[in-house]
Amino acid sequence: MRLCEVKVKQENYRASRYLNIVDLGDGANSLLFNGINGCLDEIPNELAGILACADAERLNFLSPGNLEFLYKRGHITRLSPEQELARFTELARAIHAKRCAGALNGGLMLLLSYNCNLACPYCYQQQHRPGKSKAIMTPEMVDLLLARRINEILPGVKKSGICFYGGEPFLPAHEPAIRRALEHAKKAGIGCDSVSNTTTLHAMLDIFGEGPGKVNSLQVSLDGFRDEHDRSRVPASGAPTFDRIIANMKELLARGTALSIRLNLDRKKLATTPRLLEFLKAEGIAGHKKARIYAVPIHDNLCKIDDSDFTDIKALSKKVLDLGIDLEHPVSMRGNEMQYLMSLQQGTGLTRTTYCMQTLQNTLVADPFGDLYACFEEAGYGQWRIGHAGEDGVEFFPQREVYKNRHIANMPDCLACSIALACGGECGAMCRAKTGDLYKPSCRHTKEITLAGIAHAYNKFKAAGKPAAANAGAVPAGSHD
Amino acid sequence: MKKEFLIRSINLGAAEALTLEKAEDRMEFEALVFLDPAAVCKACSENWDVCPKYVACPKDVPTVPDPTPVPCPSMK
Repeated sequence: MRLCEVKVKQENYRASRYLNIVDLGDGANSLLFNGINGCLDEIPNELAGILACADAERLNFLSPGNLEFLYKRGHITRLSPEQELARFTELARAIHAKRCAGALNGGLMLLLSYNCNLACPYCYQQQHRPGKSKAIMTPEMVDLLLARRINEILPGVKKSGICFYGGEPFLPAHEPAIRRALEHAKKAGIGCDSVSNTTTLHAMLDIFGEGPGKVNSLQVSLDGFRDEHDRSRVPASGAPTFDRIIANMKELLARGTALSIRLNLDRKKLATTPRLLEFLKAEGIAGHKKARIYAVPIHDNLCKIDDSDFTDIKALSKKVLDLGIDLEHPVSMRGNEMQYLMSLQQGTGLTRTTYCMQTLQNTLVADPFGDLYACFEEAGYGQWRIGHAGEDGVEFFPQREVYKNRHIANMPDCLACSIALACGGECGAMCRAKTGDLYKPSCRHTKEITLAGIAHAYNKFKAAGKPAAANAGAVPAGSHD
Repeated sequence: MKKEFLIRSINLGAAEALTLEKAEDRMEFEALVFLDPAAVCKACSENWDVCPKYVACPKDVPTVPDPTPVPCPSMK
């Protein structure tokens, strides 16, 4: 009786549209990555070939044991493609509802002013800076945002953090507002983060360090080694900044402030990266336990700028690998993010129904005018404001709901994608700029990068001596009639 | 002649995987979805709460436990 049931099922199986087959690059094995539940299974390439052709007839050559196992893991299905799509839509809505209902961490990014002492050619704030540069956040506005209106600005957020942002946050004119915000942070028992060009903060080093009421961490950017950096990450006068930034980084590390060092790279800057890393190592920055260094391509989501030397994330990752340098790149960073899947033993493995703060809005940007934004790249672009905080209260605009609805269950292209729950729908600001439609993704190499990241994570997992135990969850090799 | 291949499970071997066959609508799926706080924290980590382009500074990372061995599925 049971054998008959299995035989009937066999005839109806087909590969799921949410099955991803990842070549592990060893010439023998592939990884099955299920885009619904995060299940990972290593299989021989011959089986990968059968699953990749998605031919129901070829699946019938598999043993009942193999078929049952693949079915239970979600890699093969008896649903039609249309049924799978419809049910995935419902599943995505269910996951998103649960995520939204859960306790949320979040915070406010205080955009202290749109002023910056640098004039980087690729800056996404350059268009509106001239019109908004006179406003500087006051201590009174800090009190309004962090004390009087915080529960209205971030309703439901249980734990709020503070991030200093700009323009350049650590300009001298911002110091009164920063010190007031740090008083609030100390009272609340929280540390603060920041995104800074790190060229001026030596004037207020005492605010940096570990623990509540201090700036605990800072993201800083370098545009390649000294000569390349000093051609682009400079003030309008062209004065160099590289050596000052390095000196300030060392001061910050000495004070216990963690650094996230972002290398903004294009083709020319990438070529200087090996020398830069050697230099950072010699200076005690690379390899420091509180420093993380990673590479990203310079991008142009909001401004039309000269992109002739731009490189995409796929090319950047390949080049970093080719150079043989110890540097996090987009593939390894995706791999690091997906590493948790390797040891996941319970629960819903994939939960990214959204891409970023723009949808969940548990973190918002507040500027000196009291304007609220859901994306830090959009701050200053009035048409993308989601609200305003003032003496009379907090008012939210229709744009807030437009962004809140931008999750994969409302994005048809994403619902058809096999890695949607590992991606979340890509950057909304970038998608709108590239496709003209906030809800239409511009994926470029996202799937390739994600799957390469999973292979990277798995190979790292194996290299650490933690592969799946022999025959765990396996059926023995060989043929079975 | 049926072919039998070796399949090694890497994760989620101890639990029955959530598949699209198991439910039809949102309410049914909600009953099945279990967001393990530890996993959600990693899956939708700090970077993704703000922006994946904003990479968080290093923090203490818990060690990764060994995978839990799971039993072989019985042969039919």
